[in-house]
Amino acid sequence: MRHDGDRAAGWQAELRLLRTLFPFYFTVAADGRLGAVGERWRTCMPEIDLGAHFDDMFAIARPIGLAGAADLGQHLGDVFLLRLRNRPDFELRGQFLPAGDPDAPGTLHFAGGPWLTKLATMAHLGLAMSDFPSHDPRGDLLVMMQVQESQLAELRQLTVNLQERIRQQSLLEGQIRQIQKMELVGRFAGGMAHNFNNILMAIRSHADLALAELTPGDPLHDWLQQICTATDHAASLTRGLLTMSRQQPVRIQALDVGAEFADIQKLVEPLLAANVKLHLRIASEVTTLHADTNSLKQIFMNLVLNARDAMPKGGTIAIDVARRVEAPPDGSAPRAFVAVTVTDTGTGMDERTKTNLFEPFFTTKALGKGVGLGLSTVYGLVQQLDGAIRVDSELGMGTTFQVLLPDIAATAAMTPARQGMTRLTGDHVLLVDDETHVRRPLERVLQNAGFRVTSVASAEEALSALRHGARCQILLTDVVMPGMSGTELAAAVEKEFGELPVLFISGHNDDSRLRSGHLPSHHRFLPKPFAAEELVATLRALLSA
Amino acid sequence: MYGLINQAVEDLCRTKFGNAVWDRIRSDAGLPDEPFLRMEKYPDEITYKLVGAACKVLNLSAEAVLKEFGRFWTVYSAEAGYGELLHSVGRTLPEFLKNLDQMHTRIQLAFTHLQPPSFTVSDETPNSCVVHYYSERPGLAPLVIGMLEGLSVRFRLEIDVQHVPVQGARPHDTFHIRVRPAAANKATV
Repeated sequence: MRHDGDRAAGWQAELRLLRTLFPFYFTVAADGRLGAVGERWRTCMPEIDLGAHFDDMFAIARPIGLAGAADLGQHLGDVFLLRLRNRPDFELRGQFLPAGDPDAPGTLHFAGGPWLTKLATMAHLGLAMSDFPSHDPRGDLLVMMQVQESQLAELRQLTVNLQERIRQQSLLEGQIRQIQKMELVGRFAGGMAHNFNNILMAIRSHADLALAELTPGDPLHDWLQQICTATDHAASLTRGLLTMSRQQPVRIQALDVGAEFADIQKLVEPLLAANVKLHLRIASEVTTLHADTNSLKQIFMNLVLNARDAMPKGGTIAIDVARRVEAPPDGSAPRAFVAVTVTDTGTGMDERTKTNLFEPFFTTKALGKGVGLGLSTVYGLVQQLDGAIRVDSELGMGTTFQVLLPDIAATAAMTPARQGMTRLTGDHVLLVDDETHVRRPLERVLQNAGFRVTSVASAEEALSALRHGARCQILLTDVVMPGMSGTELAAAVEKEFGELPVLFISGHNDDSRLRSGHLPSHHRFLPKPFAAEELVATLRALLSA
Repeated sequence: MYGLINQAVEDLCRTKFGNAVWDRIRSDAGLPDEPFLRMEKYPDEITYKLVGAACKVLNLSAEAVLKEFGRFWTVYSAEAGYGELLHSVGRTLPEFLKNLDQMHTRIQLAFTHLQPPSFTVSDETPNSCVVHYYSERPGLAPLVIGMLEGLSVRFRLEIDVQHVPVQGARPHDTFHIRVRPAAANKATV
């Protein structure tokens, strides 16, 4: 009896242990009917019938080919995959082992648990992590798989982000290549325009000379007039090329400050949000500004829109125009400027931003919001206008840009008259151009207009002529020539012989000083090609100035 | 702490307060503008700096920031790819809390440097329980309160949480959870 009692107690202990280790534990009696079951059966599947036959409850998916409960005893220890007949998505994986039930010989234990390959199915099956006791590596495996999936998702996202950055980078590189290409195209176009202008100049000059020999009634007169018209048309095409290559001369002219800034205000106001206010104040003493109207608009539209972008929550932009006398940033002598300040109440800039502000492609804006050329363009335009630009900014304190543009009238008033200037006498033109087909007709045009002409093919020859006693009243010179350029010649002549009126002519406006229009009062620039009358009128104007 | 936590702080700041605020917090904490990697181990100091900077920039107490983060964490961790794992931890709030240690232990297989806190549950009734929280990191009790509140939303409960520090041989924090009567009929603890 005691022996039987021990065996019964041992069986009960075995059952308790198995139920703890395998929440989905069950036994199969020798007749195939289900016996004891683990607790989780009752909560997970309350409908389970303890008296049911194993074959009615389960289909054996593995080992393949087993008929049912009758075969279980032949495969003790094999890995079984059981599928619940009333829930085909619910599978159990484990093995059958002989049970030690003293009252039911031939009974088998099922030591196993739910078979999952994805954590996602756990909740769907009504299971939880607690159904995988800590000794069960399947729980660990499922968690590891979840972590791995999450890591893969992160890696996928990082890859997408990286691809996007590479795309943006490649976009930027493309833009840089495009700009470089445009610069090359511009240089090429500028060079072509230069050569074409020289040819056009020759055609136009010869046509003008021929026209001067004919009466308007002559049938050739009309044909020559057609040549002149065609030449003018061709000249407008070369001007187009120069515009593309950004070598088109800026047109410096006296501008009405009030009207110009009113125009700028009209242009930018529609682009400002309702919470951004624009104030324009022009000091009463500033009425005129010598500048190029398009450049002026481009400069201040850029600055105002930059200020707008620095105030995402709104604020105030103030444009103040006043007159100032001060030393420019290049350290040269103080001179008069029209100072235009653009002040915003925006986010301001840190030191790094201020340092790199005018560099091409430096931007603090999000990718795609700006390539960082706005302020570098402003810088270039201000330089072209012979001005200067300054910035004052602190993080959180807003930004002030100050643009100093030359106040030509005031500077002239400040400049004392130069002493000891030697003026050469006589209506004598010193003509310098390396292109014979340009120089020859110009000689004739000048002679026909009553000028005496000394004609040479280089700057060096011109200097030599002057050193050998040529007395010229005016220097008419091409700009781009082999050896010394026209501007270098003018400087050398002025240094050696004193101030001399100079008329520069060129088909290739690549000298920034000439393009800016900021020439001394005794210098003028005439772009090729030009009409004979235009040349004569300009020379006379210079001589009478 | 793992980058996942710092990522969550970043996500909370961006979602709730905007990108500009996050940039200020990050900058104030002296951190570079680089993404956190979930599986990368970062010094705890970074997380503490972020919380400190968030307090300063948002003008909130550390307690408020930690509570907010705790609430957000339950949502974020699910969105960060651990939703199924959270789902498997428990079908009720007590079951979830009781299984947290087991989940953390299993997660340590992947997050090998994880120093997770420990949770146990006692005094369980249909409408209340006491959560015991043990951690090597001091001062994070408000975060647990936020987390419990976040979990209550997950389990569609309305709860009150009372924080009671426990002294003695094994000092720790306890959180007395009580389901509000109005909500008690929707679900039980």
